[in-house]
Amino acid sequence: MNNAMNQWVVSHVGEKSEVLSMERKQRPISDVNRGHESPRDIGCEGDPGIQPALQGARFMGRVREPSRSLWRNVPSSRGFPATLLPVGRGCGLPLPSFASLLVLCGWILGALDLSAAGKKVVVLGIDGMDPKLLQKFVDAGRMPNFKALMAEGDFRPLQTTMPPQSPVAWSTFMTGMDPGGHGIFDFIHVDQAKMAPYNSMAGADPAGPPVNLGSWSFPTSVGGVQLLRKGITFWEILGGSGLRSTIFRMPVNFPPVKAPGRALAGMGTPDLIGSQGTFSFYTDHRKDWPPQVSGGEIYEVTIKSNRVQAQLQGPPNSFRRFPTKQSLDLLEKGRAVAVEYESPRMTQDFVVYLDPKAGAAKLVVGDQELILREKEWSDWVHAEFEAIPHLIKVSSAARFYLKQISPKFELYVSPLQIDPEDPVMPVSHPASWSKQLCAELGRFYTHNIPEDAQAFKSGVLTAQEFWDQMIFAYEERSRALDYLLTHQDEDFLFVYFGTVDQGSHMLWHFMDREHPGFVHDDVLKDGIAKLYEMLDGRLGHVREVIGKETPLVVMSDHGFAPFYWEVNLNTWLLEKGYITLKDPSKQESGEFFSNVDWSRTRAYAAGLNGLYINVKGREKGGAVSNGPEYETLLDEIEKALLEMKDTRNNQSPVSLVVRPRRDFKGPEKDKGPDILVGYSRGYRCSWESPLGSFPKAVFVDNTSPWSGDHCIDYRLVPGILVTNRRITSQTPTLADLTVSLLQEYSIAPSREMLGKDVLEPKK
Amino acid sequence: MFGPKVKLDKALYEKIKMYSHIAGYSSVEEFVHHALEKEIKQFEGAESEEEIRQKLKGLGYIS
Amino acid sequence: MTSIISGLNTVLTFLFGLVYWPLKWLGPFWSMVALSWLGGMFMVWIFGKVSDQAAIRRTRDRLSSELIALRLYKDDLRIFFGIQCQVLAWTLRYLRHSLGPMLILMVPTMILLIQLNLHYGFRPLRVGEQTLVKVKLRDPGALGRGAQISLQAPESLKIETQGVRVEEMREVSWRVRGVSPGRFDLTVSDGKESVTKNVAVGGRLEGVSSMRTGEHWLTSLLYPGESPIPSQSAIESIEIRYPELDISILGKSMNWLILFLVLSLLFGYAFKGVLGVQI
Repeated sequence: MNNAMNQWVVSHVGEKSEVLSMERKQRPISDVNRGHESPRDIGCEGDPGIQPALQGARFMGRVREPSRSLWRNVPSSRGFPATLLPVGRGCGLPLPSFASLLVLCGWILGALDLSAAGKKVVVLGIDGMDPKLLQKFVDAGRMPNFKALMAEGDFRPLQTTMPPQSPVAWSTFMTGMDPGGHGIFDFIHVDQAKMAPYNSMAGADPAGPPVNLGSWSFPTSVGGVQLLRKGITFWEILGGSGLRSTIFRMPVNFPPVKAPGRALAGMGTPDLIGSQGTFSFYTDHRKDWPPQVSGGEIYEVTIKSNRVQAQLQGPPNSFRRFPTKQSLDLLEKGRAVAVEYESPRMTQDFVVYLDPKAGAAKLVVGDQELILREKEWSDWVHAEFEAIPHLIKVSSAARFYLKQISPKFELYVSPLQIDPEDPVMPVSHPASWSKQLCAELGRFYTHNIPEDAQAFKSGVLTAQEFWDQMIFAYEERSRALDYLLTHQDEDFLFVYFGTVDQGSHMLWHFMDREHPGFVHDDVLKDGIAKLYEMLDGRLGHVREVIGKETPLVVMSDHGFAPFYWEVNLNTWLLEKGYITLKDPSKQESGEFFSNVDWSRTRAYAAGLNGLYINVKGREKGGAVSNGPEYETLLDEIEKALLEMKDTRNNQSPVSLVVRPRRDFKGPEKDKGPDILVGYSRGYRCSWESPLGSFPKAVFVDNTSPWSGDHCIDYRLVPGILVTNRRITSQTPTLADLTVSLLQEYSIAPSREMLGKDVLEPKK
Repeated sequence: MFGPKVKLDKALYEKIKMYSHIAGYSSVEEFVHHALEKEIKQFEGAESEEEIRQKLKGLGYIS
Repeated sequence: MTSIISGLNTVLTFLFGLVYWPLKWLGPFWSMVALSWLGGMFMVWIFGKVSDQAAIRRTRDRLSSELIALRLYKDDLRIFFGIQCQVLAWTLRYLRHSLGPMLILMVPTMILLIQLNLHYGFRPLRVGEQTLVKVKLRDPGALGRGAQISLQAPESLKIETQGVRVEEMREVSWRVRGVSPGRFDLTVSDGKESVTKNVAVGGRLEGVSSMRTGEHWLTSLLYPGESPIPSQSAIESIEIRYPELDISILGKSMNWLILFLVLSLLFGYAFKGVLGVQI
C-alpha cells in the first residue's frame, strides 16, 4: 500500500515539484508569503510557535523516493532546488488558496509518512567533546571510528558561543541565532526587579488563585511550565515542510516544543521537586556532614533493631496548607496577624532492614521490595506521592545506593525523577512518547543532568561511585540510541550524550598533574579517555546501522579546559569600588547580594560569565543612569577586566570582554548581562560569585573535584564537528551547522539565522 | 537604636500606635516591622532565598 | 481438610489448564477475553441449573407488570403508592429467588478467580531480571536464636546476595536473577530439613505459583499452584516476588480481576438468552 502510494507521489507530486523548482528561484517565504497561507495550513499539530518559523523559512523541495526502508541511502538533494510551495507571484491561480491546498496536500502526505520519503540525517550531539583531546585520542589510535569518519569526511573545531555554556551553545545550535536572538545568556539569569537569580532555561507559571477550605486548598486553574528560550528551532522549520524529527534529550527544550515528530526533553528539565537535581542522603552520623550541601539534602536517621524508617521528600502538596512557623510564633505571642500559609511536602515512607552480617539490606518502598548489598546501586524504584488520598498521586522514580551499613549507615537516593511512565510534567512530545520509551527501555533519568556531579563534589559519592552512576546514565542513553536507530522512521534524528561533559568536569584532576586538586588514581587518570572511547564505540555502531550515504554529523557544543583558579568577580568589583556593602564586616556572610548597598553600587556579577551595570529603572535599586554614564562605566570596567592581574602568578585571568548590546544581534540582546567575561585558560568564576556572595580573596585555587570547565573565553574552548561531508569553512560555527542541516533538506534558513552552509554536498 | 529613622506624619503614627496595641504587638516598631516585611514580600514576589536556592540546587557550576 | 483441598486443587488446576492451554497463545488480553466469555457462560449456566427458573420468570413478569402499572397510575397517588409497595414486595421476592443461587455461584466463582490469579496475577521472571525469594519461619524467635536458613538454586537462577534476615518479620530474603529459561525447584533448608519451591524463568503466558504456604485449608485454597508445606516444618511459606503480568490493550494497562468481572458479566448477560436462562 505504502509503496503504491509512494509511486503515485513520485509520479504526480515529485516530478511536478521538480518542474516547479526549475522555474522558480529560491526566495524566503517571508518575502513572498506575507498575507498568504496561514502557517497552520501546513499542519504542525496546531502549534502556534511554529508560525514565525514558517514565515522565516523557505522550502526548496526534496527528491522523493518510493522505498520505505529505515535507512535509505539517498544521494543528497542539496543544490537541486525543487519546491512544493508556489513561491512566485505569477502563478496564474488565486495564490493563497492554491498554496494552501498544495501545502495541505503536502501535509496530508507528510502525515501518511510519504512526503518524508526523502533523506534522513543523523546528528550525534556530544556535550563537551573537545577537539584537542579528540585529536590526541585519535592520534593515539584509541578512536578508530572517529578516525574513519574524519577520513571519509572532515573534522574541524566548531566555534562555540560566548559564553561557551551548554544552554547558550545548544540554543544557538537549534535556532541558528546568538543569545541576542534566543535570549539564553547563561545557566543563571537575574530578575532585576527582584535582584534574584533564576534558572534561565525554564520557568513555572503559577496555578490560579486557590479556593481554601480549612487546611485544604484547591487551585482554580492548574499551573504550568514554560520554556524560556526564544526563537524557532530547526526541527520546527523542518516540520513546517512536512518533515518529522526525533529529538532525543536536546538541552533547553523543556517543555519540548511541539513540532512534527517526537522529542524528549533534556538539560533544563527539573526533577520532581522543581530543582536542577537534588539528591538525598540518609545517615545515622549526620554530624559528620555540613548543615547544607550543594545539590542535596542530608537527613538524620536512627537505627532501631536493625531497622531504619525514613521518608522520600517529594514536592510541596499544593492541595494542603498549614500556617507558617513565623505566623504561629506571632500568634502564640498574642499578635493578631493575618496568618500566612505554606504547603507541606509530600512524602513517601520507606523502610530499610539491615543485616550487617549479610552485608546487605532489604528496602521496602511502597509495595516494592528490593535487596541491596553494601556499595550496590538499585535499578529504578517507583515512588508515589499522594496529594489527595486515593484520588491524586504524583508518580516518581529514584535510584538507591547503599553506601554503607556499618559502622555507619549511609544511603544515597538519586534526585526524584519526573516518572517517564506517568509524567506529572511534559517531558516528551507527544506526551505519550516517554511512556512508550519506558515500555521499550524501562525507566530512565529524565531530569536535567543525570550524572550526579554534586554528590561527588560534596563527598557523598566517591569518584568511583560517581563513575558507576555516570556509566549507568550513559548506558541508558546508549540503549536509547540503539532503539532509536532501529525504530527510526522520522526524517531527522538527534541524540544527545552528556557523559563526556560531566566526566570532563569531574575527572580532569585525575589526568592533569598541574591541577591544584590533582589526585593520583591509576584507573581514573584515564577516565576521560575511556569516555571518549565509549563514544567512539557508539559512533561505530551508528555508522554500521545507517551506512555511509546517510548524512552523519557528530558535534559538540563546546570543548574543555582545566579549571585551576577561581575568580571571585564580585569581590574584585568590591575591591575596585564598584560595589558597596551595607556592612563590610559581614562581607563573607549571606548570598544573593543580601549585604549589598544598591544605592552605592554601580556594577555586580551574576551567573557564570555575566556582569551587570546597576542601571536606574532596570535594577530594583539602580544607581547608574542610562546613556553616557552607563557607556563610560562599561568602557571603564571592560578596560579594568582586561587589565586584571593574578599577582600570585602574574597571569591575566580575563582575555575577552563581550558586550551583548554591542556585539549580539536580535531582540533579546538588551535582556542579558551588560558584559560577558571571557576568562583565560585555567581560570573560571568562583563557586560563590555567581549567586552574589563575596569571599575574601579574589583568586583562589580550585581544589574541588569539579576540575575541568569551559565557561571561559569562547575562543579557547571550541567544540567539534566531524561529519561524512567535506566542511567548506576552516572556522565553522554552531550557527553555521544549523543552516547546513536545513540545507541538507534544501530548506533555506530564516532571516534571523546568522550562519552559512558549511557542508559540501556528497559527490 | 541608631538605625535609620523614618518620618511619619503624626496622624498616621497615632493610627499605627492604636492598631499595634489592638493587634497585640509589643511595640509600634514590631508592628511596623511586620507590616513592612509583608509588604516587601509582595513586592519581591513569594520566593524566599530558600526557594531560590532550592530551584538552582543541583547545578554543578555553583556551590 | 487440607489434603482434600490439596487433591481438589490438583484436579481443578488440571481442568483449568486443559481449557487454558489452547487459549494462552492468544496473549494475555485476548485469552482473558475468551476466558471471560467462557466464565460468563458457565456462571449463567450454573445459575440456570441451581435457581428456580419458573419462579424467577413469574417474579420478573409480575415485576414488569407492576412497573407498567406504576406508569399508568402515576396521577392517582393512592394506587401509585400501592403499586410501589407491590414493586418492593416482588423485588424482595426476586432477590429471595436469586440470592441462594448467587451464594452457590460464589463457590465456582472463587475457584475460577483463584485459578485466574494463578495464570494472570504474575508472569515468569525474565532472563536477566531480578526478584526476591522470601522465606517466612513459623517460630518468631528462630532468627534471634541464630537459625541458619540457606537457599540453593540450580544454575538457571543466580542467587545474588546472602540471605537478609529480618527478625521482626520472621523472614529471610535473597535476591535472585533469572539466568536461563525453565521451571525448576529452589531448596530452602534450615539445616535439619529442606523445602522446595517451584520457580519459572522465561516462557510465554505461564501460570506461576508465587507462594508455597503451610497446611492451612484457606492458604492451600488461595495458593493452589503447589502442594502445602508440611505443618511440622520450621518454614511457614516461601514466596517469589514475581512481576505482575501486564494485561494491556492500546497501551492501557488493566487489572485482570476488573477486566474479568466486567467482561464475564457482559458476556453472561448477552448470552443468557442463548442458554435460555432467566437472571
